[in-house]
Amino acid sequence: MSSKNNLKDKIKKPNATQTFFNSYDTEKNNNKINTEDENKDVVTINNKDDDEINNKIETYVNNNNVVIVNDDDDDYFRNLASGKKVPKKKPKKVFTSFYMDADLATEVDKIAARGEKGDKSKLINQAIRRLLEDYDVLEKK
Amino acid sequence: MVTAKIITFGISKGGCSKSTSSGITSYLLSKEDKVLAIDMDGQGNLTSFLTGEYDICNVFEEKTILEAILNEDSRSYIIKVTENLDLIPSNDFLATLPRKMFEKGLNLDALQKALQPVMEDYDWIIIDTPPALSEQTIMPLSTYSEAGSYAVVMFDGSMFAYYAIPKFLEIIEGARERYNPTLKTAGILFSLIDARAKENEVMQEAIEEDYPNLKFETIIRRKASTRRLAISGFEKNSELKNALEFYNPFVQELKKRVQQKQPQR
Repeated sequence: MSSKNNLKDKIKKPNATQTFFNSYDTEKNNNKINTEDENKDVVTINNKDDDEINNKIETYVNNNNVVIVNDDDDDYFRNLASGKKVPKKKPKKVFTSFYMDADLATEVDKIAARGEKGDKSKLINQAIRRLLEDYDVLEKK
Repeated sequence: MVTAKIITFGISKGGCSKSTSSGITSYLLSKEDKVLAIDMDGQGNLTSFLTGEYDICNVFEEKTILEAILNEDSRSYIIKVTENLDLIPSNDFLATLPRKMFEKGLNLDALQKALQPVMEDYDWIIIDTPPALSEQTIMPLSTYSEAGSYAVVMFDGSMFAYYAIPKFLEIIEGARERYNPTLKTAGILFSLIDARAKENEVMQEAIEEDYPNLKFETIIRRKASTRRLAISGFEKNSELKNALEFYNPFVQELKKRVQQKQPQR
């Protein structure tokens, strides 16, 4: 018979309770949210003015092809990455969600944690915008 | 007027006696007090246990806790079991609850809204929950009562249940933080499948060490006569005393822990 100490400490990760509650926070802030499977890159949703919602596995970001990106964004995130905090603007957005690579999500979370609510969305928007500009899908600003 | 004390029985593992314990607790409390039992598990075992009715999808069609929540008023869905014991039944259609709540834009305070009109009509509201992290489990824990809202964590002596305890306590904590700041854990109730199993002692030590003072002193040792309550019912049952042997002290202990000082009648 194993001792009581052998019974213990077999769970290393927290459970899904907070994610469950967060899903209702998300629903409160967005009238409807689609769920998606891992094979889909982006699923859609409805217009909203609110900001981003994220959790440990899925990272939700606001993305929008009409989003306004400040010219100052690059400096803004550079400052955040180096630990400085600067004022920011909140553009109107569309709520969407997708799965991120875990290593990317970790780094993005670290940077965003130094900023304010919405900075994660801003960073992701800027990264995707740059990529799409590079692909000539979007016109460079 | 004082509102009802809410007692939610739960654990994220099946077969830990949640329905049996919530049913017997409802019955025993109703001997002196006014009790509303609520079945939040779509299996409907508490419903069958208290009513003797097993054809629940038919008999309780559109007369369940599902409709009470969706209509945000439970009054039309309460059925009388005995003079002092009422029930809001459940059936398999409760599986549609999350989807319907989503469609109607209801939040996790939906059960609170449904129960608000009857909160002062009872001394106790006893709620049975399914073994899952779901709306059916979260909403009872998120339901506030001025008289107090409590959770009884069930434990069957198994390793699976041992690891379900911290998860359920985290659910309690989440509900307390977000919806129900006065929610308390009344305790962990042992309902041992095999009272002679050699691992029981080790489990008991581990739980007492992990969760000091939470374990109820009363330990339910499962008996055939208790199981047969689902067949014979409570009335005119010659083995009732034997069947309730461990539940009588449990209910006394529960009352003490939640400092019962009503009644409502």
